[in-house]
Amino acid sequence: MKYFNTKQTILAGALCLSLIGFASCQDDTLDMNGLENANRMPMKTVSADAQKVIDQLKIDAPDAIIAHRGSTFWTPEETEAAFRWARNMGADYLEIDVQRSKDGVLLALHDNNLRRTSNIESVYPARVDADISNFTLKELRALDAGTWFNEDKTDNARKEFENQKISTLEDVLMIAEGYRVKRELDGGNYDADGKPFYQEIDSEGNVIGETTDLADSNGHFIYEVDALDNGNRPGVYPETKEPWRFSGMEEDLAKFLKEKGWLVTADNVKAIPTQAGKVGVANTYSRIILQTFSWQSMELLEKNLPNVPKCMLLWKGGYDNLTNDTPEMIADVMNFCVDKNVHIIGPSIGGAPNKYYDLTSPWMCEMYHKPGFLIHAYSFDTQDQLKKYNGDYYYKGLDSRFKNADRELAGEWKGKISRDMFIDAGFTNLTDLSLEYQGRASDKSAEEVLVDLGYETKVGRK
Amino acid sequence: MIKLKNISLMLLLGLACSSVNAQENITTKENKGAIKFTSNDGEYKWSFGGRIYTDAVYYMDDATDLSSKTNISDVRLYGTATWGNWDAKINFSFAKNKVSAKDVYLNYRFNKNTSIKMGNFFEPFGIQGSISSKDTRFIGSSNSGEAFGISRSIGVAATHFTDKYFLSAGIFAGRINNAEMGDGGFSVTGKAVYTPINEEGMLVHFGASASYRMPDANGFDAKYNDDDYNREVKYAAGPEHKFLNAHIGNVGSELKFNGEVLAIYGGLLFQGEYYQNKAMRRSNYDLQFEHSRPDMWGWASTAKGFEDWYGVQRDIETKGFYAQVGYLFGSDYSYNSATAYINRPKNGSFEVLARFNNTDLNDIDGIFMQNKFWDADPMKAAAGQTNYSVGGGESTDYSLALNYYVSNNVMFRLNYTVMDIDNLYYRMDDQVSYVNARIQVNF
Repeated sequence: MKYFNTKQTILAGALCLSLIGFASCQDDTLDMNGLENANRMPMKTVSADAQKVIDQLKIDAPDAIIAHRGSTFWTPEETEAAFRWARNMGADYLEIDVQRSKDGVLLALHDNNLRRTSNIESVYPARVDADISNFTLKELRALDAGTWFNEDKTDNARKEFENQKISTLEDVLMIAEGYRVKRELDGGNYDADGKPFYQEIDSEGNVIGETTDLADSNGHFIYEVDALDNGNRPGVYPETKEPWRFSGMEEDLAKFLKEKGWLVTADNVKAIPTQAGKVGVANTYSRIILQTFSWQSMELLEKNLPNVPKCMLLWKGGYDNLTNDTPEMIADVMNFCVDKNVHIIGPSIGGAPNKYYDLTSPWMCEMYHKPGFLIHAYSFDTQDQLKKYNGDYYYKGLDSRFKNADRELAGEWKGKISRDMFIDAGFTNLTDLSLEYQGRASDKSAEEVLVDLGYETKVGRK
Repeated sequence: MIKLKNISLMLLLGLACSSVNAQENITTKENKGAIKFTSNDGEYKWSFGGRIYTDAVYYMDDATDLSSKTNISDVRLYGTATWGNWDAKINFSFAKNKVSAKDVYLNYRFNKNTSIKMGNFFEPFGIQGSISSKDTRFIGSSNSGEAFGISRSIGVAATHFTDKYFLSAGIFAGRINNAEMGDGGFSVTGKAVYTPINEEGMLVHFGASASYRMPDANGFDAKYNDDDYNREVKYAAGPEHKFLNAHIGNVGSELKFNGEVLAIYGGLLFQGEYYQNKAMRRSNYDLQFEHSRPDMWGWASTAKGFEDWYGVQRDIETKGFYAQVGYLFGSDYSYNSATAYINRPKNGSFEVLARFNNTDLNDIDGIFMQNKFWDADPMKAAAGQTNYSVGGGESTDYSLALNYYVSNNVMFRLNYTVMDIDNLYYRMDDQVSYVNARIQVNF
């Protein structure tokens, strides 16, 4: 073979290597911004059954306003006052945290113990940090679950909140159906902080009547039609906790909802009368939406309550939630949710007052929507949060889609911003604010609704 | 002081005289691009040399950014000495701004076919693991060779070869660059090659290698004051060691197997290797339990409690193989029984090659989520029970190579590779392709 000139060959080789070096200056990598991530990440799609439930949700409760614990701002949370207010105010759902008493009663209560939201230090001083599950319903009803609110939020303190009681799931369902707790009248008139009536029982535990004496009762309320109800019939949004805390909770929940006619997949679904122009979610397929942070509980919810709308709540941190908000991690959780027939993703939003980690940025929402899920984010307490997570800041005039369905994107956002990048519904402590934002505001303010319902005596700062 | 000065002067004079004498008794010769010095009586031989690799790589279609660049990937200087039946070699690398020892050994030849070597050198394992990178057909080993090859260790090995077979076995005691505290590991490695056909222009050889190893300890575990439970094995290969990368902890020992085949026919070459590895884990749950303080619920109440929750520390199996074909323009391949591999092609030759490689560093029996492995039972996984699977990634790659042997000292190499990626930690990367080039200079 003819030899090349060695010197020339070496120079040619060096030139080739240099060319590769210069060529590498070009950007050879995809621009991996958040939107690219959302588009590239392989994810499963919801099943046909799940899609049916999702489609029904869009009909039954579009743009749902979910009253977080009834309200934590206007009323002591998860009390009769909170749920009656949220119902009359116009919330689409009453949101609760489901726990279980020692004697198996399903409760609506957030904390693991009673220190923050009751006067347990006065009533059971030796059990102040005991878990809820260590108390019977009667023991819990002995507590005052309202006065703490008056001391904590003096601006919104009302006399009628004193001696509000810890609620059960049954209480919440009854309030959603237009009932209230029967109370002793005050001069023949309804008294919102009158002594409640309980089911009176005999020595064998049989219900024999009604009584205001807790000691003679089983702790269960007597209900009456709420004469001050304005006809709204919201759904209920119960959250289950980690199964290691309440083993068999999902099974109990399924049994209880069926017993009360609230399990839409059973054959005894209750028809709940509604009125035109009023909230009527309670009488739809989507009357119950189950939610949880726990993967294990979600497994059990799918097993015990299949085809009931389910929401996977997202939180950053912890072994059984988003370890990190990368596309890979989100895709993992989305695929898990598809496998468990979840219908809704419930991410946290950022901003005051809660300052949760923001898991609802546009590219994340795209990822949540991609498999077919809806997004119910938590929780909205300011106008700014509502506008931000509905995408208003991308539009001319910062218009919301509720006020202007034909709003136009500002600047050069056309083609880059879509509806999929924003939420479908939100949890809120200020149902009134969300209603106003959506243009569904009632003719009554939050305080007027409270007064209408009998919580009329402000005792805090005037 | 005066005495020391006088002694020093005498030593210097002596060296100068001996150097004058040495110059009169040494001949120099050029042999295949290297300079060798030989004493006139032929008893002593020295050579000095080195090599330089100038590399360039350009990545395409990479979702995870890879760095396309040029660099001097290796600079070596070596010296060898031979006297009587003894050989010695010292070879240091100065690449990447650090000095590392490569071949550092003493070799004794019983005869021209049998020798014993002591020092730091390649363990006899497979083809790619036993040869220098200057002699590989592609730039570097295949991904399987890179992941599963053994490279150099300190030890002693005996070798015997004929034109029909090659046998080598040794015992080794860990890496030369092991700076960690804790006990070093050891290995017993052997290779056997049978060459049923070994004729002019035609060769077939089959071989098998095996190695039993205990990895080096990674220092002392301060919590347990023990260095036995933190041995680990790492398999890594490919671009920046990203898409093929497995770390296996709690390893008590490792078994490696290799099968090789080599065939040449004139200018045609076929070469292939299969690798199988098993990392035998050594559970540290008993130790953990011994040193743990139960939490307020009294968990765990037995070492089994840890195992039930965190997962069985089971053995991990990985494997890989490659097959390559080549054609040499301008000369034929020739075989060297002493190394059980082919010789460097003649100057002026062009060589083209194609290779298929599959490397599997996955051993998974759990659920992967949130960058961790969880129990295979979804309920247990959802409760937080973990799993000791390894997801180092799997890839299949197709490569082409072009080599030009300019002279004994210079060759040019050009490779193109397309690599299909399947790695749970890099789910946005399906495929990456890259061009490598090298100017290889040895002297």
